[in-house]
Amino acid sequence: MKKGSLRGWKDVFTFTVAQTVKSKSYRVTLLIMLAIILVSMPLMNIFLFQDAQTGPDVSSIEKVYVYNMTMYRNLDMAEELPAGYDHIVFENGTEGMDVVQARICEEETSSVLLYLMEDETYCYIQFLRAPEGDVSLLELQQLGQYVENAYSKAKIAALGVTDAQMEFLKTSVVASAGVVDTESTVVLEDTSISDSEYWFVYGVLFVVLMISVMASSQVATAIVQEKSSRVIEYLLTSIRPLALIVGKVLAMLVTVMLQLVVLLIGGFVSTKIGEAVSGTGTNAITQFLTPDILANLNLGNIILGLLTAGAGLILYATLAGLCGATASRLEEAGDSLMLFTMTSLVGAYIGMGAAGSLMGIGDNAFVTFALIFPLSSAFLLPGALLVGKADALIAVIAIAVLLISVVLMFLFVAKVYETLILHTGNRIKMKEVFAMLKTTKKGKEAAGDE
Amino acid sequence: MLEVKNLTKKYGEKTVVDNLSFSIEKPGVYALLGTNGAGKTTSIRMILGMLAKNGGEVLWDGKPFSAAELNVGYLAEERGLYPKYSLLDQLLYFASLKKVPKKDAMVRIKYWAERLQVEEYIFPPKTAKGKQAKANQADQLSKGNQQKIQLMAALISDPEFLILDEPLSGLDPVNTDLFKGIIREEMAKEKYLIMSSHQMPTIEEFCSDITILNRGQAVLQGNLNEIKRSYGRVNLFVKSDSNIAPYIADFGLQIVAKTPSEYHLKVRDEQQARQFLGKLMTENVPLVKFELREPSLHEIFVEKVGDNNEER
Repeated sequence: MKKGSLRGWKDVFTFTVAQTVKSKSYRVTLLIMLAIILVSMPLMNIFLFQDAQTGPDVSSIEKVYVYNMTMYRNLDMAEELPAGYDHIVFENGTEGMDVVQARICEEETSSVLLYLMEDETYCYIQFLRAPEGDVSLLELQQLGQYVENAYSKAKIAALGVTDAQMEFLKTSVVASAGVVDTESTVVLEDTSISDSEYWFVYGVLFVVLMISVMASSQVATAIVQEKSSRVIEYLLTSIRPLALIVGKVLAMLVTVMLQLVVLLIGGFVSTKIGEAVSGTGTNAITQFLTPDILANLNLGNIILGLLTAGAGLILYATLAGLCGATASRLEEAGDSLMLFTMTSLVGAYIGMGAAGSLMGIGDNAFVTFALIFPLSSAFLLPGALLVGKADALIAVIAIAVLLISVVLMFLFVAKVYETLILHTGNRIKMKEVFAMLKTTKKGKEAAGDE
Repeated sequence: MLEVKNLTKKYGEKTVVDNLSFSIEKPGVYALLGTNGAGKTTSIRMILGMLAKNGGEVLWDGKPFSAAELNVGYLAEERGLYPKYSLLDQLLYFASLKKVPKKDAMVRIKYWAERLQVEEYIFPPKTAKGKQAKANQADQLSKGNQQKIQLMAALISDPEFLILDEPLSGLDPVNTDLFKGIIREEMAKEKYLIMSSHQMPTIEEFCSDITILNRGQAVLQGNLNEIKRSYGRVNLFVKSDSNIAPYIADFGLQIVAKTPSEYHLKVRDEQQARQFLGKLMTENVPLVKFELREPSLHEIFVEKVGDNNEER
């Protein structure tokens, strides 16, 4: 790399950031994504916590005709009812069910029919209400919960099991294996991750992949645009190709990160709105993420995670820039990104496979490889660090490998980019790019350059 | 002073510029001529350092030439602007890459916008409602106006060395004169210029020294006046109301071209032209025009590359 190869990258960076943020497509995309995020949490909470909603303060159901075909004929359902439902009268059905159904439909629209039946495998609790009337499905679902509780209690009571014994039976059993050293310290051998941890790692991987794809395709498009509009020839009188690509890669990462920050803030606001909408103080995220999942969320791990993701994104965006430089027309931009797309997918699939492997059998050689391998570490390591499945040493090694890869990629780009970037014919294949590397090397040797 | 020594560029086994050497020793305009594909643009790109060379060196005042360090202006043959960005933003960006402070850049942009009559595109006037109109983008401009913006970009750093690749192509006569005026101004400021053009009269108008490239090789180099003198005054233009064809045949003169009233003849030397004139005068042939002159650059160019001018 020649001295001064990076001079001017800051100008490229500043201009690219300013123009990208000013562009209509950037702002419109951000606004649409923000709008989706803002409404998503409240909507999710409405659907998720619908079952938990209590409906009206006082149920509109006045009477329940009970047809109990189970062996527990003396179910005390009224005992389970909370305020708002305690006015409901339960009456054993003595008439034919069709007669009661007709009456409910025509006269007693605030009454419902309850049919209970059991066999060897299931107990069926079925409510019937009038098609027109005040009784809502939500109220029936709620009432169904109380009837189910009463039935379960009756079953347990029939077996002679007390409440305390029942609680004991409900306690979970956890199996683990470990080794013990001479100081009697037990080290657990089960290093697998839970479902929640897997989904968390997967989620982080997906976010990093999304950022990488968005930023990288923008880098490639910007480079093809400069080539197709021929402005590149003017730019190269002032700066070296490497400075151009570095400025662009960093600018695109910053603009995508800016989008991400805005969307995260939007997500936070959306979550708070969602909590208010659900009325339960909980949200969809906490439903899936257990509190102990982020026990390793500390400044050190956050920094290591960000460094890994950042270095990985630079690596991928530089590769995308190189791919973009092989095309001369905007319509070729998509095709030119094939190598980048394939590489990203390989990296992401290795990361996903390793996350699945972590959940299934815990730490193993494949997981260690995926944590260090530069194509997958950026996707896998940040999540693995935060759930405590990667230590600082692995992270430092992975970052070092990534940085070496970035430097090697920059050196490669520096050698072929100036030839690629002035090429205006058909798209150059990667095989030809490597051939170009040889030609450039020979030429420089002949010219006595560095 | 610019020195280009043995500049060579190869693509695989194909040599597109072969040991090109020339120097510009004093301020003025140096012409790089050649047919399409002769290697002019490749040579310019190598001089500017944007294309790796396979051999040779480029020196400025005895030191390796660096376009990033020297203040160089470049108007590329393939014009380029960002199609969707505002013109002012682009010009300020180009100025920042040339390390021109923003304040100075604004002054220069205003000056050149006025000079090239593109103010309304760079600084859109206020609308009837008093609001600032939306900034113009390059793709909203005509080709000629885009060329003016690109000339502004080339001149924005007030360069000491300016490369103009086909500066007048595609311009109407009014804008051609405008560009010529600016080139003359730059010449008057004692600047070094390299101009590449297919318009031979333009080259004759501005350039003192030339290199003609053919298939990557310099086939003719030197001072334009000296080159012309070396060819001698062998082009004779004769116009007469009488039929002079028998006299031409008697003298064995070569007819290069003929119009209804004028002959373009090739003479061996000035002596032969004088003898021919003497004969016509003796015979009382009424002459309207009798002009003996050096070959034009166009004729020299065609002679040098005419047989091998197919684009590769």
